[in-house]
Amino acid sequence: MPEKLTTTTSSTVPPPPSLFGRIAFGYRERVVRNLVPYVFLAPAVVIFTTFLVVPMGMSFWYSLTDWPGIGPKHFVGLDNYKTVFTDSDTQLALKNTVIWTLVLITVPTLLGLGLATLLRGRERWKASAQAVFYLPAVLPLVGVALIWQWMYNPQFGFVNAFLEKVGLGSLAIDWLGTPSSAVPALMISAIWVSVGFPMVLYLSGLQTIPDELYEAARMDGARRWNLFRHVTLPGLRQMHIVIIALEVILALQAFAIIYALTAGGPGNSTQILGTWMYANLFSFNKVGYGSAVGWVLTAMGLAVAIPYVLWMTRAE
Amino acid sequence: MTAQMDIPAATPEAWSSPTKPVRALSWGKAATVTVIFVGCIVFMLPLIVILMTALRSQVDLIQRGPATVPHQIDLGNFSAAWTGGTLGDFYRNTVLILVVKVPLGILIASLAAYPIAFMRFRGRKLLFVILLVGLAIPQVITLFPLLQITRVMGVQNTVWILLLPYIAFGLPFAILVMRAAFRGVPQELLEAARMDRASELYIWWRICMPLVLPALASLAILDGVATWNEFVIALALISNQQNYTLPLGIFNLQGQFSSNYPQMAAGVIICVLPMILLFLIARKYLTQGVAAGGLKG
Repeated sequence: MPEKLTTTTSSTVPPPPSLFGRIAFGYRERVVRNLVPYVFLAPAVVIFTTFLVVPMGMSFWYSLTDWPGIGPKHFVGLDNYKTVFTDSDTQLALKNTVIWTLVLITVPTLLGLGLATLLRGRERWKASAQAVFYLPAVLPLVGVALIWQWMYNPQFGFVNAFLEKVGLGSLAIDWLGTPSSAVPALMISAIWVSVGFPMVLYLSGLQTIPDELYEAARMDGARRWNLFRHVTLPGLRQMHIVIIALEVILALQAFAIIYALTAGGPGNSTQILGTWMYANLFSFNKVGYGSAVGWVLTAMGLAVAIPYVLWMTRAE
Repeated sequence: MTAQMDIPAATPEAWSSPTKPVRALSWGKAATVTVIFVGCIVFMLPLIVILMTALRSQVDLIQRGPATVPHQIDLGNFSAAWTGGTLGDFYRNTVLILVVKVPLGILIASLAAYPIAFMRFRGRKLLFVILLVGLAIPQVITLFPLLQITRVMGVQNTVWILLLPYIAFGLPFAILVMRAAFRGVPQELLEAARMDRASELYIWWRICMPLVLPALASLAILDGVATWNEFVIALALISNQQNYTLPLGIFNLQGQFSSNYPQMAAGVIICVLPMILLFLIARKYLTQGVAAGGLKG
């Protein structure tokens, strides 16, 4: 009996926690309340739609035409996409994109993981070293490109001057002007910028591994390598997914560093899909075809991003 | 790793009769420090080289090569690059767009993140997913349509043409960070305010925003860096030199200073220096912001 009494009295005070139903509103008030979230979202949605979603739709429409950027558009169906998969220049750009992405996942991830493991902790020298490895990541990519252009300069660049000083002058070449060395040279400059990001994420991931786990493993006689393999790596499992997904997305968006260093040259040897699309649109007046190239790139990005975002928001 | 901290605490007795783990770890630490030290030097090299170049005269560079220390420090390159390259204009344009874009973008993003974090409504999950997927859209694909759209809107030949596209591309990350920050706000505070019939706008601005100030600072700094560095959209949308942002201006200096390497190097340093300074001052916020972007759920 007493229990029943308490329930009835409590129901006269606020009803159960539902965000809108707390106070007894009239119908009109309830409608207004239900609109509140949409009002909050409106500015973001309008800007996002106008300047991101609509342009995507427009460029998809372009990709189905032979539009040169001016004048009338003629619908050509999927012809541009058929050309994407036969044209040898585009094939090279596609191949470069895949290699670029694979290298810019593997090398920065491994370096970032190694650095994070070595630099975990609060000592001052570790903090300074972390800063050194992260610093390039905040620099403007155009600045980075010009810095490396100077390093690679065939006449006065540091790389060749250094090779000469250590007696390897015969190896000195025009790094960015030679098709076989241009891609690796670009990758080195991109890796320089990209190491900090996985390092910072891994460091934040390492903070979630309790010290006791290390202590316990050490008690069992585990040394460095075993600690790394059996405590560090498993503790970072979730972080690996985050880092690799974001790295793929970033690598596919690469543009500025390549455009500013080689603009896709020499020949088209350093062209990736992003720069190749840009060249088609703004140099060759092939807006239709360039948009198809861009959509192949976008599709690659979405193929990674959609599962990643679903995984990330799954907890709800 | 914590065992490394044991070493300084080791007493002389410990040195005279070293137990096995201590010795192994001290060797390990020596190797670590060496590897890291060499790595740091290699990583700093490009920046050191460009600084050395900017500080010397062209003659000195040609005579003694880039892998040397300048014979005489010459600061004239900086003033020559600043005036010769009209870097002042580019600075002004970049700062203008930055001081409007960053606060406005964060305001819009936190407004949007609030219902995503706290309210139940139709399409919430779908909307959040779509906004986040925006992270993966390569800017290049939107450039030509953006030109058309801005032309229709009649915005042309001004640096403000960049404002709304910049905000649009910044929204996914900003909403992700703000939503994560809002989720740290205790629900009871919101419930209590709603009991008092506070409006949602009031709760958002007066209760939630002050509680997420550290996240706002991180986001502002990251967003500021991104805006300062942005190149692709500016490259496509801005054609008139007087509207160039700094990265665009520096990129075009290449032609102007084609053979005067020290001046070119000075221009590059003028462009990257604010970011280096910001990094030195606010590194904690920067790295926290990056880490927040990698949070799950």
